[in-house]
Amino acid sequence: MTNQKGSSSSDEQMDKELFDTISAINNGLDKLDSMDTYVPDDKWFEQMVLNQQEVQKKKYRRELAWFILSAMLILSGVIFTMLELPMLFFMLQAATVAITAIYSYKGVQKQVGSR
Amino acid sequence: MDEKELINSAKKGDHRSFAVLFRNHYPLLVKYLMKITMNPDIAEEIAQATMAKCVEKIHLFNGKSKFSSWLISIATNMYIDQHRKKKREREWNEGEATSRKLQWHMESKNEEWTDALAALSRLTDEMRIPLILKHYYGYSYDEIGEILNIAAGTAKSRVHHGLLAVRRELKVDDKPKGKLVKR
Repeated sequence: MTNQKGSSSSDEQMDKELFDTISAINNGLDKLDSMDTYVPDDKWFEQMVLNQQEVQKKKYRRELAWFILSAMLILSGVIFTMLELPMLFFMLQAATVAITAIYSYKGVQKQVGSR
Repeated sequence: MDEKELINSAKKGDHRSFAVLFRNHYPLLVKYLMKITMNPDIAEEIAQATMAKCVEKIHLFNGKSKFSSWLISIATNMYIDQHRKKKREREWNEGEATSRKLQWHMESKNEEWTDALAALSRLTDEMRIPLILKHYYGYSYDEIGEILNIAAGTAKSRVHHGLLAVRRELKVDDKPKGKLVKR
């Protein structure tokens, strides 16, 4: 019983100390909060958003251009080999299937191994 | 226009709605970042980077949480990422040097740099951020876990250890009344 009382009073003391610590932290942070913060005007925010939207549009156009270019290169390569070098076309097809299968199998093996 | 309408029209690309949203949340965002970075310059830098990111990712905001919580989440992760990248740079050094400017900033405005703030500034980000989110902003451990991409249990443990570290430094003897209210 004495032990229980002793431990419960030390727990209370600990709780009280933690509560005081939280209070001290909050009081300090309140002082930070009470400081004035410079807020730019609406024009600045609007300009910032417009600039960011412009950056995004450029990025989107660049990515789309790269995608179309890559697609055209791949398609023209495929069509060329299919029409001019059918043997090479079938070998490439087989190699692609084999590489995909091996890569997938190794991925599954790695996952099983990590468990 | 209320916040929901502003967000909807911002999603459609209206820059004025974005501007109003950002202007309304800018002070909260900067002050939050000031608390976790302990550096006013870095706080402003990350606040602006957060807004830029927000323009890019607004379509991902689903409205389940408050817009301010979403901004805080983006800002926190940006700070952690940038801190990781720039750890070796002098301006991002840990500890006393980082908070000295903020201390000077406060003292120049006749605000006291308390022992608690000093102790808080000496904590690692891993402990300081969840501690502030929990006990100053009133987020639950689950919410903190979501913001920081960690388990709720990990968040709880970090808050507790952070609190113990501050208590050790403070050796509290005065008894101010704190508030544990969600803002």
